[in-house]
Amino acid sequence: MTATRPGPAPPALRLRGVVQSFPVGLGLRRREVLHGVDLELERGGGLGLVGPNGSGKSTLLRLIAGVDLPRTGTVEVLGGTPREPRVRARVGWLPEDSPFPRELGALAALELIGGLNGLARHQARERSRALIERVGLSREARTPLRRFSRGMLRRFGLAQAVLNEPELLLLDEPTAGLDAPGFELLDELVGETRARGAAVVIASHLAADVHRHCERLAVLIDGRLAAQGTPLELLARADQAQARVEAEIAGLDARGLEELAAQVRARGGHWLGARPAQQSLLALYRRLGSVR
Amino acid sequence: MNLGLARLALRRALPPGLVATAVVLAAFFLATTWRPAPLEAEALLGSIDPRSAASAIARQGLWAALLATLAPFLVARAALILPGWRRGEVDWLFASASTRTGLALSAYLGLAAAAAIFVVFDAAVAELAAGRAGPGRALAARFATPTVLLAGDEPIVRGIDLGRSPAGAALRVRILLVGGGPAADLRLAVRAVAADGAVHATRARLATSGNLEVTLPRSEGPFELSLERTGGESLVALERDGIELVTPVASERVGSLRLAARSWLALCAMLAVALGLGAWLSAPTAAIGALSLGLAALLAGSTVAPALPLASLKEALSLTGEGLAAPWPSWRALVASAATIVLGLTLAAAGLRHWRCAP
Repeated sequence: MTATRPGPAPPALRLRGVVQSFPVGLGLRRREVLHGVDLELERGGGLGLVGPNGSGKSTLLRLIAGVDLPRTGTVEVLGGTPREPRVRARVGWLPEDSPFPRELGALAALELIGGLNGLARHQARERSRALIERVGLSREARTPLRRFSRGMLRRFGLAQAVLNEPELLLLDEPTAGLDAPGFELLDELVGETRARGAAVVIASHLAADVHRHCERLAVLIDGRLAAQGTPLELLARADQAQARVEAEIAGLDARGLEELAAQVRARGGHWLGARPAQQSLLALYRRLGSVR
Repeated sequence: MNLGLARLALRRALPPGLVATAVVLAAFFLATTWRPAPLEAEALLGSIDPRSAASAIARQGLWAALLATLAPFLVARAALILPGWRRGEVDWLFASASTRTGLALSAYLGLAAAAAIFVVFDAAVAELAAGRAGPGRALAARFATPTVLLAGDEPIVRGIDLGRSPAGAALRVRILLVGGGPAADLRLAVRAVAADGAVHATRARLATSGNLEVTLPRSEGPFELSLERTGGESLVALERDGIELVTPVASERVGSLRLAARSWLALCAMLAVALGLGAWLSAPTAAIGALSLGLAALLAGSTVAPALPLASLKEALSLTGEGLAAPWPSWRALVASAATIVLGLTLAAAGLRHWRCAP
């Protein structure tokens, strides 16, 4: 009698030769926006999709989220296709815009999205209440989303993305419109999601947005995957004269920073300046009375 | 299916602006006088019961006015749903674990609920206008007959295949005066064939086309109906399918109840078509398309497509104005509505399946 051993779990994400195009004009011609993208992300991994505006990041995320179908190529998510309900129930997605039901209050909208994702009614209600509080929208729980500011909508978007405790979290430009406390919230939610063993894909045109949570970066240029690797590997491929690094440093006063700058210069580097990090702004806000 | 999404569709179908418009229009129509001058004259002559005739006309008027003015808004709201999804909501809807067919069905459930609220509102306003209600009468059956000209003194005799006559039932005959003189004197009689002898008859002088009615004897059928001209110059014809069985019902309000059922079925069919067209066309084009199809069905009337609920709505409204409750929708109407709804939802689901989102 032979026991069958379960094979290795399929990756969180596997794209092969993905091409996407859209009709233009009268629909007689098509404009190709993704040209044969191959990409893979292991379970629990973090991938940053970076590239300039219009490079195809959002289109790629839409394909992974199952909103759209590729023209050709295959998209495999958590061992299935993105359109399978059992797969979609395990994927969380924050779209680039915030096209949520404008007439609903935040809590009602969150419960609706939970229900559509297969959560039982009481489960959707409990998680929604907890998340509304978590993202700092308790006071606006019943306010229609159309009255939300961009930052508040982004917080709501983050809450709906993690509502179903996804195994794959897709975030499209997650920092757009967020304030310093919002950045901290994003860091916490993504950190907790990854701590649960979920994979995360963050798309941004700002590389700084993705560094914290993504050990690998993929660079999309004009719909082509131009490069991928760790941030330092990509840095090594860049023109050294143009390459810059950012660092977040805690515990140094102005004099300490001056000494650090001197050491950088002594090693042949260019010290281009220092500015307060988001965390410093957050500390300032709290000192000035902000509760979020 | 998702009840939350159905509730959202219901909310979108009946936004506060439309609800306010409905209330203002209802108030306006309630303040309108629906009793026409000829009715008042007939009431003075004592030929009709003025209260019940005024109720019937008010009931018909309110139903017709509210359906004509508000139903297009509801159809337009239904046509907006899927284009709204296409404008961006796909991002959270299509990424959910629900299938696209499930999403379309949920949205449709909300629209059908909106249609139900709409017809209940119409019925309430119509009954408010109709006022106090007494016992009512309903059209129970219609007997097939060709158009027959009553030539000379020879009566028209027709067999009425009916079991035991219901208590208080009557036969109503629709008569056309087709010229040749100012009026005709008519005698309408009915007798039970088996009972042999029990004859109920009525006589009337008609100056315009109209109805004659005779009470059915309480007896086992079949019956024999005869219509003869006893005087006058005018040529007389029996209208096609113009012999009807009228039976008593508990209340005049039954008319509104049955109109509500017909209107709901008709609206459900139109809303499904509007939803389905919205998956392929822009919202205004989808709304106009659904309304045009509805108008075509209404104008075609029950002669061309009798099974379509909208086709028979005009006639049901006309019966209501005559103080008769229209019959409940037939099983054919149910099947035709269900088929139209399935067609609309198939269009919607197919449209959603093929959507591609431009970046």
